Amino acid sequence: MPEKKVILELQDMCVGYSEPIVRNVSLKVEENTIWSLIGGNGAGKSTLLKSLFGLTRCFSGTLLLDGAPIQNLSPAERVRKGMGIVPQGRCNFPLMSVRENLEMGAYTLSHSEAKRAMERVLQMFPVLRQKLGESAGNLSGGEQQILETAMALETGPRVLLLDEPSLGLSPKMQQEVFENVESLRGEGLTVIMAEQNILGSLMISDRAFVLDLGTKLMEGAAREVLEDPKIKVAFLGADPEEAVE
Amino acid sequence: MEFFIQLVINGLMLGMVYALIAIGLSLIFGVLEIVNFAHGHFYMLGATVLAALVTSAGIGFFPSLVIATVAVGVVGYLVYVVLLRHFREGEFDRGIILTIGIGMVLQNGVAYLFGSSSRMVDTSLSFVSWDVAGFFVDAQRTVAVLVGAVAIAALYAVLTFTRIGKAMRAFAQNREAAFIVGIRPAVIAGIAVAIGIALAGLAGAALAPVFAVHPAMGAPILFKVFAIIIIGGLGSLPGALVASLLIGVTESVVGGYSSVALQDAVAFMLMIVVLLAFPAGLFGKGIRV
Ligand SMILES: Nc1ncnc2c1ncn2[C@@H]1O[C@H](COP(=O)(O)OP(=O)(O)O)[C@@H](O)[C@H]1O
Ligand SMILES: [Mg+2]
Repeated sequence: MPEKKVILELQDMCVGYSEPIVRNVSLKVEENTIWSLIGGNGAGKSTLLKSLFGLTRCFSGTLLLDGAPIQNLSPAERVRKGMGIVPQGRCNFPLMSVRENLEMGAYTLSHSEAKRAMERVLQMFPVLRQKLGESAGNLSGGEQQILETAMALETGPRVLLLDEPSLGLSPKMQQEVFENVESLRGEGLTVIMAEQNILGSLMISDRAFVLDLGTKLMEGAAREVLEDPKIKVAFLGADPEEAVE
Repeated sequence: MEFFIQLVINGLMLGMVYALIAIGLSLIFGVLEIVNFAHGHFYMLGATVLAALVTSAGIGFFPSLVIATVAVGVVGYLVYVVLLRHFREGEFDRGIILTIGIGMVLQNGVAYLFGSSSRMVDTSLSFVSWDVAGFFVDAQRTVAVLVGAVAIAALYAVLTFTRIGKAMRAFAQNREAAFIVGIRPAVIAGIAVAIGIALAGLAGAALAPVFAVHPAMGAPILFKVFAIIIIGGLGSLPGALVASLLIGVTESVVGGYSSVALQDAVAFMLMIVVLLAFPAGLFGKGIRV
């Protein structure tokens, strides 16, 4: 297999809020791969994902996109450089209609590009088409999640950050989410997702990164991480005796 | 009955002007999460600029109205760029202190430049009134109301139909989501502050020929408008409009049948009642149009 190009590189990043939460993380993310970000509750997965988008404070370290440092850019500039994020928790405009939300998702695009982008995501998520006139805040949780994903995809990001995309969904819909993520990789995207459904997420991932209390515990091919005894015990509910073999 | 209707008409006129000020204050709060304690002083600045243009420069009322509104909006934008822009999220109390300071500077600056006595402004519409179906309609007040209605309709159109207006609503509804879609906060907030402050200036300019103009006229109206936006629900623009008209009419009716002293307390009594019954105000939070 030919070497893939590194699209996103974290160099010794320390990020957090009033004080650092995630420390000394280094990572090379190759183009057109899916990464699973794994860790217990409060490990710092959301904080790390948000920091890649400039939504939390970066205390030190460097973040390179296509080799150029972006850690000091605002989120607005990172969108324009080809990044997208669907954070945990609601990130739509609840009093605006679904149509207006999609217009906002295409905020950085020209008028004609925005129209095409909207049509493209409506084809991807037909359920939104029947709800165009409804207030986003009146949609079900699952529908809002779909809307937010659609908004993030409108700009055609090259790097997409997903925070718990399957949270609160039925097993069938979780499966659908994972299939969608796989097809995004098929279209050339790089996806980094934090997931509580570790098995489901590792199954479709190329690589995995495990965070514990804000520091790197492990990094490797998704398959290796899936087979790792420590991971089996900590996250997949395996019996410690058996896992160690 | 006729007296009552006359009072209601006067009250709606007054309410429309409150609405101009309240909507601007609410817009700034919704987008910036700053309560602009200098808002009443920008109203005063609009009145002062109009008085200077009409009385000293001899410019006609309508051109002066436009110039005064734009001038106050520009001052508002500069205040944003120089001072308000540097606020971080959660610095609510610093915002209060800073805008109180801006208000003081405006009030004393105007007193220094123009003197602190009250001034009357005569325009071609002064002392003109019409008899409409037996009701006394004052031309200058009517013009103020029409100007207010047009400005509010224009703001509604901007917020509903333009990209920048939608971005303002988006920003007020969910900041993080606004960052995520690529909205540049400084651009949106700067425009919202300029528009909000220009509306206060417009109200002052439109009413300058009706009331006496003096440097201290800002503070009393500010507190009344605070009561109004609390009644309407912080950040809600339709709430601000409805509450303004409600207060305008109630004040006018109370003033007509009892005393002028009570008239000024009405807004605050209503505010207390609404706060007890609906803690979030009548229309809750979020810029809704
Ligand atoms: N807005 C915030 N301000 C301060 N601390 C926060 C904030 N959000 C999360 N944290 C803290 O950061 C730590 C990591 O949280 P988070 O990144 O949400 O973990 P995860 O997504 O892995 O569950 C937690 O201890 C949490 O309390
Ligand atoms: Mg999380």
